[in-house]
Amino acid sequence: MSGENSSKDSGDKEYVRLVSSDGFEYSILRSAAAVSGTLRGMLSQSSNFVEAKQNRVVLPNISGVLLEKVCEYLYYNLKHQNNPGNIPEFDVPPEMALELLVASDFLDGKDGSIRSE
Amino acid sequence: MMSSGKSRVKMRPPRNRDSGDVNFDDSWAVLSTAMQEMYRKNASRLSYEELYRTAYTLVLKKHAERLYNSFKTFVAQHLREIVSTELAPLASNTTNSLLTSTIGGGGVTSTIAVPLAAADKREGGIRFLKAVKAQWDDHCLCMRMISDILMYMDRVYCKELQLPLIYDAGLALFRDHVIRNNEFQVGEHIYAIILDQIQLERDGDIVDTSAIKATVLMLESLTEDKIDGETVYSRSFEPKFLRSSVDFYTAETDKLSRECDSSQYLIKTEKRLQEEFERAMSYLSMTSEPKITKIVEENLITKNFVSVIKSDASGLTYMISNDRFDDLKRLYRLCKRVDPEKTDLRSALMARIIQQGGEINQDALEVLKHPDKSKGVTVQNAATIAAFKWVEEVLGLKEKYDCILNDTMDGDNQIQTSLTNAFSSFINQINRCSEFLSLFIDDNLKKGLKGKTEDEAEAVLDRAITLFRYITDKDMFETYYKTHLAKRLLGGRSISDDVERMMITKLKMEVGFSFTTKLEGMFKDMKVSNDIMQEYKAHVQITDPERTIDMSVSVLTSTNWPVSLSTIESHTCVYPPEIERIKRSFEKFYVDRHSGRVLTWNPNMGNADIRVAFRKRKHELNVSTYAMVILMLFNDLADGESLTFEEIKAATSIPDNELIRNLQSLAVVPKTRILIKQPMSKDINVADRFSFNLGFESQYIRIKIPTVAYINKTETETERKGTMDKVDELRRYQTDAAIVRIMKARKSLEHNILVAEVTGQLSSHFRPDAALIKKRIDAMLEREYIERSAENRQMYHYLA
Amino acid sequence: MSRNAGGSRVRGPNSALTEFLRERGIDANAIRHRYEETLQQQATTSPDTVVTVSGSSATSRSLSRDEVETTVSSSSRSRKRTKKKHEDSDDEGELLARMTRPRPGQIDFCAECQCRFTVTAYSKTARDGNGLLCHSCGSKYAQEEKQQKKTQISSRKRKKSIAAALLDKQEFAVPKLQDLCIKVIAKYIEDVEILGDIGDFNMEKIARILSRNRSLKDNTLKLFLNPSIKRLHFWDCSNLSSDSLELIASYCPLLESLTLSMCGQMTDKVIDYYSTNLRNLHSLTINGGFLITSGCWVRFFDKIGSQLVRFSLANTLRFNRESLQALVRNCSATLEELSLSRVGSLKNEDIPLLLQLPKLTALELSYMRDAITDDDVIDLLRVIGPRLVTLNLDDSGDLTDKFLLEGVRPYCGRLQNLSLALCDGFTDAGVRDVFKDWEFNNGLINANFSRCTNVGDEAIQALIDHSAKTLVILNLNSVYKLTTATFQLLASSDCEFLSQLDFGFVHCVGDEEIEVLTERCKSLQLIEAYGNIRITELAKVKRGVKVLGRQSDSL
Repeated sequence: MSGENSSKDSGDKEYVRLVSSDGFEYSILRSAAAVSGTLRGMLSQSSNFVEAKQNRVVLPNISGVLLEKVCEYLYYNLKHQNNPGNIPEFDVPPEMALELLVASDFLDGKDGSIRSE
Repeated sequence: MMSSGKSRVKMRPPRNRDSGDVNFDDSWAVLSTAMQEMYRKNASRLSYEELYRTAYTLVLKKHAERLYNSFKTFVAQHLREIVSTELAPLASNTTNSLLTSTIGGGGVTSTIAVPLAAADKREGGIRFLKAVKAQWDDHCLCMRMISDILMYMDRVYCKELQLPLIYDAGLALFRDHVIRNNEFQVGEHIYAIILDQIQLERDGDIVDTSAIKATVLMLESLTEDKIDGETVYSRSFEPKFLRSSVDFYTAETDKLSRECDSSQYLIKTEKRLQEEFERAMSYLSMTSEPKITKIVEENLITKNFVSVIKSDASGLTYMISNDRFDDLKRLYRLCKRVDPEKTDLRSALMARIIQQGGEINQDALEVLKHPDKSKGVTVQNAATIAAFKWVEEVLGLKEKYDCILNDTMDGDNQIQTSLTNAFSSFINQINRCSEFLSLFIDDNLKKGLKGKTEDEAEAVLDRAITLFRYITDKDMFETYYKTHLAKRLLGGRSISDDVERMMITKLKMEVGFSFTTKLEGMFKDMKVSNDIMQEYKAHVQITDPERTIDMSVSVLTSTNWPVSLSTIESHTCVYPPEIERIKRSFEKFYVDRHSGRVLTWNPNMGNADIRVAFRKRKHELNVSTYAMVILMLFNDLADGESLTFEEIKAATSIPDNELIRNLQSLAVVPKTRILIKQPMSKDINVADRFSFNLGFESQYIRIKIPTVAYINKTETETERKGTMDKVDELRRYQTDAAIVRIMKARKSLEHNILVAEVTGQLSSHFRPDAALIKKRIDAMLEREYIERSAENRQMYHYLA
Repeated sequence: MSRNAGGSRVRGPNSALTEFLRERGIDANAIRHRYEETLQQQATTSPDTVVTVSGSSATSRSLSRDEVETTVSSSSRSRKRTKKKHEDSDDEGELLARMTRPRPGQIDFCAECQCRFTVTAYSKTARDGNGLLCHSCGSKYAQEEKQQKKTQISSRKRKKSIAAALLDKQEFAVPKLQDLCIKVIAKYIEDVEILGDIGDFNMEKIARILSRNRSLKDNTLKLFLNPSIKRLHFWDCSNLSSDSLELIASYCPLLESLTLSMCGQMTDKVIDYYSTNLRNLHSLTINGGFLITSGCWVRFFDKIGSQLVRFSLANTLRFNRESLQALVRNCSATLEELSLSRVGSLKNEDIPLLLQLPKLTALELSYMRDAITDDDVIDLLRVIGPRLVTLNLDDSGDLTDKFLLEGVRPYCGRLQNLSLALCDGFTDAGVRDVFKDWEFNNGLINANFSRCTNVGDEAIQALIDHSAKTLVILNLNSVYKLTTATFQLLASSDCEFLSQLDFGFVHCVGDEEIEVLTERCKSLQLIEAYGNIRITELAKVKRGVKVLGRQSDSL
């Protein structure tokens, strides 16, 4: 996890902050967050919701452990989305597979919204 | 590979914070409040995540159906409120008077019946459109936001059950509860306002197109439930628009045809078309463009165009005679829009051309019939003048229509075909067209082109070729042309060999190689003759150096030249002995070189230079061969002695008609009276006596005595008949040849097919008529080139 | 050597594949001929000098060796052949090289660094074929060669994996996190105690994967069952015992829609149990339940037939006239969709029974060749045609144009989905006449004429003219007679919804057509092009359009 703790500035448009149910806060690239359709909708500047204004999303149904895995996936996807031919496998620990499934389902948004715009 | 039993890991089931049942009503309260806030533009206080999660949980807990329906109910109710509080009051103040005809007793209408000033009313209309548009924009924005927070439902519920997605459902709700609200029909108001604005614009006012454009866009984005591409615009508005347009243009057609002449009518029609096109493009839908255009076309053009074309005062005839090219252009453009075949325009053009052509034909025949004697025009001259007049006028007409075709009708191919047909039809109506044309060319090649540059000459010939193309009986033309050419060549009357050849080349390009082989053969004969004469002269110098008489002979291949030259019996002639000797010498010389060939002499085409001593002085006379033979008779006579016609005839065996003509030129024509005839009269009679006119005087030493027959004018009736007979005979041969050629190739053919093929083969030469072909087929049967099939009487077989 | 040249007409037995290929005009002779042609072309286009010949044979050698490595798994016969081929070329190359090559022990100058060195048997030839390399340059060169081969192999592998993904109709992109999780869950399904609230959609996905892996078993089944569930779809029930199948009804009494495929262990007892326990059931799909008897179906329909909206049955020989009579007796008021596929026990005299189902909007009677005749179906359409939205009569070879012109055209105004695969009784003109000016119908959404071998341009062009605005799925697989004109028309007809198109084995389609099609049909997502030899990897296909079955993809 690329924990960019240094960038505290919430107005920094390049990074957004995700907060887990147990209070862990992750700052990730906006483009990585945009891999998730749900997060993209929340943070989209064209919608006027509170998340977009604060550049910060609280996710009360996702624990820190899960959220970290989610962030890892977002970066993994971002890195490979333009070259999907031959990519390393993404490791999903079996014990968290079900929880992660629910979390990813929650974050997926509309179908087929994995690709960045 | 990896057996699942090996490493037992415990898979944690998802711990859902909201596990257990959720209370739908509580969750829905959260969502509906939020939606209300969104409509009030207070979204910035809402948490997307919370709303999304609330909806997500509802769906996960299988409340999707309820959620979907609640959403629809909520939005529908909200929209109905908007209509009754915001839109209806606005409309009732402003647009009622527009709607009296469109809405019958709807909820809020018909209370205020005070007719407002038109301008106010219309401004009110635009204001109403803008108000609806504002609501529409708000609604779209909210739907986008709501569909964002209900995204999960879209994905797992709507898609699965193939229900409209939230956003689309939202638009459909707007359609059903605003536009088609059953209490207050916003749509009907909108349609009436737009139609009213269009009417204003058609009447010449300027309207606020941006508001209408925005409204139309809205109507277009509201689709109908079935996926067939229909929208509220196409289903509800467009039919009304088209219906009102039909009414308008029916009236407009009446009005214009009453008030305008053809020219104005065309201008206004184009303007209307342009207006409607621009309207459809700028603020209605592109899809309406072809439909409205069709309405305008059907009314203004299709229904009324024949009368515009035929109008006596300003129609097609007027436009053509007055060179109204702009009008013609319009006429063509508009006609083409409604009828790709342009039937009306083409038939009108053809009728006009045939009429004008008929007049030209009539004029030419008039000149022939009533030559203007006062100007010293003889009958034969008159024919030449008629021919010239006719050719020039036809060409003039042709140029005019070419100009019209190219300048106003884009050189349209179909029109061109019609023009060609029309010209061909009237040109071939006059049966002397081939003769006229050949005469025209003959005259130009003899004198008309003298002193002109090659380009100028070519231009004249090209014009002749244009006419030539229209002539169907090309073999007739060939016959005339051959006769005229023969006379030019033998008489040395052609101004330029190059121009002659140019003409031949052009003919060849038009109708092909076979048409001109004989003509070219004629040129070749002339050249070969020259060579032979050179040789012959050299030969004479050696064998007979004392000879005082020069002779020049043209050896012609009989098949290449006009038939009249090759018939033997009509050209008998007893030559004077000195001439006869030379003639023999040449015959021997020629046959030595070309054994097996037979020479036939044609004295009627020859001429001679003779020196004659008159009382005052000697003159050199250029006379025809026959005239020379006649004059030589007088050599042996003492002064004052005379010969009768009968005696001359007995001595020379010259055929009667030739003898009469030559005696006419020698004894009747005043300036060349070499012989004295008794009694003095214009006609030659059997009993006339002729004596040598010793007292003949002339200021020139060299005198040309033309034979009457050599003056090349249009034919007399008898000559024409002879020419026609010759042509008919040739046609028979050609038909026979075609029949045999086709049957040889096909072996067996049905009658009708054979006739069709023969017609096809011959049509480049002349227009064969079926009777002729049938007759020739019978002749071929008789001569056993072909036979009838035993089983099928309509069938012929070729006999080898 | 060549048997064919001998003119012998004796032919041994043919495999189905050979027969199939011959039908399509593909035979060994043609292939050989084409191969020879290309060889000839290559020969004529590269009249090289001797020196470069040896160079090029060196590279071709490395390629063909590579080929052997990558095709190891394929049949040993083909392996042998490739090996032999490259041995031949080896000999030639060797010979040439030997003629110019210095002997071991000689002194030579390195072609790369110009230093003096002693030639050994292992000295490498320079890349351009001119001269030998010294030891140090040679080993460097060997390294590079190895690297190159490696990247070649890996790119080959990558291509293969793309092709595999395409064959599965998967979007070729970074896998979704859900799918990754689902795969893991499916793999460790034995360890899962409860699935929890993962959503119906995901649950179905897991079930699907388990079906594919044949790991839907009695123990894993329970994970999917819970009392609130309303829909269940299991695609492979071959490992489910009849007891387990019964469990479905006892665990999920609220079920409304149930689909069970490959349920060979389904017995009368289970169906009887369903009919008493599943009070809300209105849609049932059973595929492969061949043990269920006719009498059982009669009981089933008598009991809950009156609530059935949808009934679908495939692959059984025991559903007979009595069963069907019970169906129409009980379901006439509710049944909207009926599908009977490969139900061999029904005869053509049974078809008129369907006249008693007035509410039908979807009807499938497929793969029942002998039971379907023109007159019966026309009579049927006269009654139910006006409501029909979907009609599937695949493999009804006895149907003729009469059925189209007197049944479909006059009665089926609402029809949107029409599937007539394998119906070779229709003619080009017949199908054309159905669609020509068929204003009564608003257009088809889904049309399937695959393997209607007598249909051609006129028919399909009429279909396009009629339905261009509505078509979403169009299947023209093996409609051989089609020419490019039809595809040009398709491209120019503004088919804004067309998203799936299958023209496998329609030989006229090539790169150009596919480019224009993907360019002009805005919604196109999936093209199936199996057996279209004229489509190559060079075709520029618009992004977002999947093309399946290109030969070049499977290399």
